[in-house]
Amino acid sequence: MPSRPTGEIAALRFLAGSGTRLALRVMVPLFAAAAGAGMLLGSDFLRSLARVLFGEGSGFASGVVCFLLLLGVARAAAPRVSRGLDGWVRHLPISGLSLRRVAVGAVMLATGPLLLAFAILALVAEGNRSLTMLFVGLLLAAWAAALASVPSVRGGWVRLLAVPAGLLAFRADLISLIAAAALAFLADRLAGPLERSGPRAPTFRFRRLPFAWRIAWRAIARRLPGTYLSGLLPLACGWAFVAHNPLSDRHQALGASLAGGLAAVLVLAGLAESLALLRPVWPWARSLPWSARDRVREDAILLGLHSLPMLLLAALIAPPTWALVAALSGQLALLPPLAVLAAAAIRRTPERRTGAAGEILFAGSLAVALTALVPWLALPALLATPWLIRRAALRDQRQSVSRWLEIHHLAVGDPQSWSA
Amino acid sequence: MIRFRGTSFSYRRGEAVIANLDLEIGPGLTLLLGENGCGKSTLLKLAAGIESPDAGTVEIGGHDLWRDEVAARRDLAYVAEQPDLTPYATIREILELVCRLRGVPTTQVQEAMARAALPASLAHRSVRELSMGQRRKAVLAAARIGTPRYALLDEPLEAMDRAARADILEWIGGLLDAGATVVVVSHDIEPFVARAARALALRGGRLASYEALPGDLGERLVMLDQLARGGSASPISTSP
Repeated sequence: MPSRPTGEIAALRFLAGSGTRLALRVMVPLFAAAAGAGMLLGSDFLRSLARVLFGEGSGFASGVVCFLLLLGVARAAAPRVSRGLDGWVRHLPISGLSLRRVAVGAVMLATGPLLLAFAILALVAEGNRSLTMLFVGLLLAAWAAALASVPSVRGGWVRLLAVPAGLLAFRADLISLIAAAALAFLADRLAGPLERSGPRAPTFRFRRLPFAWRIAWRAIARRLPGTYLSGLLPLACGWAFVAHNPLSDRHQALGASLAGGLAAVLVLAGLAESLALLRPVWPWARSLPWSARDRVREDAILLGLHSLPMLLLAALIAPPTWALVAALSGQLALLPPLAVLAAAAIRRTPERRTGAAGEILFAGSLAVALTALVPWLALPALLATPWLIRRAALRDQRQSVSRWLEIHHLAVGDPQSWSA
Repeated sequence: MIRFRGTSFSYRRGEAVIANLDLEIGPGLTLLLGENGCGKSTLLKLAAGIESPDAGTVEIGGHDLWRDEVAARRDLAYVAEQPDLTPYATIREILELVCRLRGVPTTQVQEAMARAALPASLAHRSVRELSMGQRRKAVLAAARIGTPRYALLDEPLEAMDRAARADILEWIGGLLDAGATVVVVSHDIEPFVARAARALALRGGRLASYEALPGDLGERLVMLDQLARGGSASPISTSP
């Protein structure tokens, strides 16, 4: 008979080999990009970054940035770790509470590379801060991030306690660490077992909208606020650039156009990635009289319409001049081909390590930058839209829908997996 | 003994699937019968600790499923109709987990796979890469690890080839000979008629228990067939 800790160790071994392994695999491009950027920027930059984040007098904002990064990694890992733990596994001799705690541990393991990077930066940072306190703080912050990410019965309360715990942990003084540990401990005691995901109810019921849009909306609605927030970032940068520099009308328009274009690309990339993950191919639907071209067109229109507000907001960055109208017209004309590219990227996600987002971010940023400089370049791109739709439809038809690739995939919404 | 005490469960508020159920299921083969959607699988999920009741308790071997979770589940094997294994783990990883949690050496994985007629080459595949029959065999392989005293089997013969069916029936026979409590939900009742000790019929949220089945196999089959079609016979006890 296994004793309780043996059961928990067995479950942790299992999750480390499945969910955590997959989460780490998924995040390889991100870590590789960060490592590459670090090498490109050089040791001086890394030293100053280390000082800003962990050096003497590093502020509350540094802690917020670090904790948000940890939270992002934990939130990416959590669904991969906890998916399926509320089904058949529940009949095995391990309590729901233990399973949830083990899932938290597995998510903490997935934050390992980021913790290691933080630890190296903390070592590099010069100052009188205690390294022991910093390292204990890092572990506490990882625990808090994992607690806030793993779905539990009292998830709202847990997040309410875990987020301040994580923020306090980065202050790395004795009182803050004790407070952070107490909050995290309380969150853990409050959390209870894993939340049952259950079948997702179709909450979005606008029957007059095309079926494909309703399905897509049900899949991505929860991610929309986060995606739009990411889009607001270049807009905020663009506004700051235009507002705080003495620029000519043309340069103001150029700034607004670039910011708006990049914001639209970010929204396109975020939504395409969400669709690829949460609305995988529905094999049976391919037997219906519903052409690949129609499927691509419906996705492209949906994605394009969701990105449009970013361009409209960009119009508010600079004063209304003819230069602004011309610049934003270029970005507007570029939106349809970019939306089709995004729809196509969804259909090639399994083959790409960087997912749908990587393809759109690369091609989209380049196209947006060129269009900002030479607006009329958007015209040939716009004229190429029908050809791009044909190419995307071909991609749709050539997808191997029965092929299973774990990367860039979440079981939720997968019609061939019952772990959702 | 599997014991339900005042157990109620609903997926939507006000639409009870199981209402105030008092039931004891002792050793032997119990057939859970009824029409599609009457709540058979839900009752099995409640007994397996997959769903927790809205009211009342469920006990396995005297242990409350939700207060004494580990002890209640220690000797429990559950085969779901839809094999909801995580697609991110390989079959071997899942079976090793079951071995460790049931305190059985992980060397039993190969044995369990062989007994379930799963080729060793599938050990490193995700459940997502398997056919329906293979997925069910993987769940059956997990059920056969250790020596379960309580087996809850939801359509155990579904999607199985003939050899696998014979093997599963032999396994169930072995469990019954060892004094286990086996509850089977199946529309395919003929293979279970001979060993059935009792039948439970669910109809409109009410459960009728038939403890004394006719000795004559022909009569027994007719009675069970009637119950499976949503009909009725003279029950020994009925839930309120």
